[in-house]
Amino acid sequence: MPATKETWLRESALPARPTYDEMLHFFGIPPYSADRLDDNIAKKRRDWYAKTSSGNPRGREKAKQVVGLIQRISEALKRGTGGDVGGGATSEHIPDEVFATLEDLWRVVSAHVFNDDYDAALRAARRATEQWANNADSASVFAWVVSAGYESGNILHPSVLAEGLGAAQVAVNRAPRESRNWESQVSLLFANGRTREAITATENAGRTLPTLTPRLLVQRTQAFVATNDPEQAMVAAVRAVHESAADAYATAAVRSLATSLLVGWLAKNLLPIRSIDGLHRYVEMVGVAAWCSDGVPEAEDLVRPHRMWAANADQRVFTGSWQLRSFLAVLTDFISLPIHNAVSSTPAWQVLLRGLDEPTSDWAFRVIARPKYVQDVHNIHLVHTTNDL
Amino acid sequence: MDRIIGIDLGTTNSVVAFTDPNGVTEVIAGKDGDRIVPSVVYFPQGGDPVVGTAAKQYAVVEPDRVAKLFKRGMGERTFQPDGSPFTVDGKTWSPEELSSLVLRKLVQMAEEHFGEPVRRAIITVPAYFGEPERAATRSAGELIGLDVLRILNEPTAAAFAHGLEHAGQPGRVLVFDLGGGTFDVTIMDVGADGALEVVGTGGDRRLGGADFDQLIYEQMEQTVSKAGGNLAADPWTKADAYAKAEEVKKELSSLDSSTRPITAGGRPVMFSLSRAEFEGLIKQQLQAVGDITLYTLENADVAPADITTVLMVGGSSRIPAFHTLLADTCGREPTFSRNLDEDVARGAAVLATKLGGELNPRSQLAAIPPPVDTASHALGVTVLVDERLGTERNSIVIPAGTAIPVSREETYQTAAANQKQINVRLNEGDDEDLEFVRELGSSIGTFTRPVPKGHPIRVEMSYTADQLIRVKAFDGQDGTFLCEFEVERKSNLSDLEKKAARSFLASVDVK
Repeated sequence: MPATKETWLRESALPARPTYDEMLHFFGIPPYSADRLDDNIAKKRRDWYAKTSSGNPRGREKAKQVVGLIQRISEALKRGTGGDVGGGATSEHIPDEVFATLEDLWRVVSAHVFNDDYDAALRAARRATEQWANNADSASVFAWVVSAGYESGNILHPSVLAEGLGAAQVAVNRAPRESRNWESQVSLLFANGRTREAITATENAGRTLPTLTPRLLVQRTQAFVATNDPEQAMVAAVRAVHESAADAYATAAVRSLATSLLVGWLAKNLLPIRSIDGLHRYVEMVGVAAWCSDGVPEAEDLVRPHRMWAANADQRVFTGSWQLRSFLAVLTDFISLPIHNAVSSTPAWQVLLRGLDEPTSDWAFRVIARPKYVQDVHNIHLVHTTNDL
Repeated sequence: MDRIIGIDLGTTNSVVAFTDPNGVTEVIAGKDGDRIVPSVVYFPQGGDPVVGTAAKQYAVVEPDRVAKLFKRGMGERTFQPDGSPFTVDGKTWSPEELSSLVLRKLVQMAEEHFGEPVRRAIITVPAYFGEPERAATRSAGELIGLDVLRILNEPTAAAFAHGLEHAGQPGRVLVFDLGGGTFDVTIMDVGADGALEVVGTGGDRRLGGADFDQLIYEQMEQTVSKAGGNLAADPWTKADAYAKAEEVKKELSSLDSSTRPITAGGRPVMFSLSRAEFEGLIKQQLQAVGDITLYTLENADVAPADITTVLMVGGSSRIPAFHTLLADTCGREPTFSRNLDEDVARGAAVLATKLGGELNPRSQLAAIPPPVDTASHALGVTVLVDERLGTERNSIVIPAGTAIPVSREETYQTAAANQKQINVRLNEGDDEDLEFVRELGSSIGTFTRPVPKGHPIRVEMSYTADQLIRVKAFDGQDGTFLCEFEVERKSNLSDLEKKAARSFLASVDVK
């Protein structure tokens, strides 16, 4: 196959919790067929490994991270399925573990998860479900391992995620008062792409448990974000922050997660602003995100550029002819100036939208787009001088 | 007779060789009989630097006064992984200066052997070395007054030595050079007359036997820790453990397991490692080597099945896991040169005599053309591809693998209306993405008048046999000269530092 640089080979990043399809796309499937997965993983790894020897230290560092990501994702794609999880000259013989008590099981599994050894954690959890078949606790452990693996990006194969969800449902049915089981179930509903059912699950948990845990509250927010329901997402985010306020350790995390969920959604769906309604929705949502972020520095940093854009997006910028303005002003003894300004001004969001949609070097666009916060929230990078070949 | 020696300046070991006019090559031994000189320098208090086996032994008792693996820092200010300078008795030693001490030792060995001064040499470098690393290597020779005739790629030298012994067997050779500090893989076409042409090269200049020693050492740390000790607490036990890690690694090439006593906290702890366990430890490195080999083959458009000979060079090639890897990849058993540790120097010596013109025209050697060397990395210029977003890319002018000397030209355009100047920026690297290339130099050219957007600019780039890169730019319309520059063969040392280094080195002897 000719050594051409295809788009998927160049992709160097994935979302923190990629979907199965996103991971396959990372490895070029499609356009290649699924049976090319192993070959594509190897090819991408080779290409990026070659970059780790580049003469540019920044490039070397980035390439090392991407090689690590490729390794992690390729292992996560196969983990738990019995497939080969990576290159190696030898395979170890892993002795079967036997657990005297459930406490033993939790201790062992927690240690594996803490050490990021999800292969061992899955093995132990599976072994426990064989040792204690049809048992709520062993099902709970298995569901927890798969959920933790999914959320850390280490267990991503659909069959394993489905297996985990099955176990979570058994655990919820048999031990509905255990909040961890609900948390695993909701997490694994997300993992299996059953987001609307995740919302229902949080409602069921609310009816069964004395209170929703901070994690369930955040998961509820996440579910509304994932189903593109910003109104409910904001309500859920505010509720999450309110109801976790009593727990000093949890509240900062909840604020941070709620903020990042809201900001993530609005950045993807509301920018660039395309209408007055869009502007109002953006301003509202940024306001809620800002409230959620209060007192948590990293969350405040995340929302700050959006707050600045929300405050300035509807400011009007003169976009008419400067020469005509000067001429009319002199002609009318400056009486026409405010009228001409008002008539020939455009809200900043419209100027930016025009500039993004149609490549232009016009002055107004460059003025609006120049501040870093505008470029950051819109994920653009403008250069203000041109030279070179 | 003005002899020209061939030097393999290795990361862990160095070798010097000479070829006489009749084509007979000998590897030169020191007074102690050793032909392989460890690339290790020891600085005794108040004494002259010590290079070689004796220095290596001091690494156990005075590790802070011993420098090793400094080849990994060639082209940079330091070789230490944490970025700190290597300083002894108030003097900071750059990788070039340390390398020049090793070169001084090798030259001394040659002079003692021949009984006359030796002033010219060919020095080998990993094929994957870029321009700054090659410049630093040349500079290391110049610091001790050595006239470095050529910087030669190690796999090329090894293949040349191997090709001589097997003249008349054309084919496609994959040279797998895994040394103490670097890994190179080179694909060469061998003609019926022994002519060699490099068609592809790849490698990793931070992968070698020293990394395997490190992994074994880490296992030793765990073993000692389980016994209640701390290997890293004491610099002497740490250095001793590293030395034993190397012994274990070497032993596992021929035995299924190896055991050594390690001292920690005054108590001996037995450390054992099986070959299977060792192969598990180097799993990632095995994968990396496999990846690089396949990547190099792909880039050279060569199928593994097209390889007729797999030539193993470098001490770490002795590790059986790599034989298996190559046998599986290329479908044939690798060939080992008789002198795994010496072939690079031997090849360099052969080429040195050939290029120096001292060869007997009737010798077998004279009939064999010198190897065609190639650009190990692509050379390109920075171009603007999106004026609005300022997106820049590397436009390759001389692709990697192009036989050198070479001269190429490309035409570009101005990016803005009324442009008065251009900034020609030369990059080294195979990627279009500027993040993965290194800028080697730049120059600004001025048009005789402001030109419109889209005005043509012609860029000429040449890469000489002396590995000098010259770039010239011309007005594409009327041919007016705009600018030119040569890649400054600057080492990391400024002219002032070089002068100081030269006089300092002239004042010290090397033992």
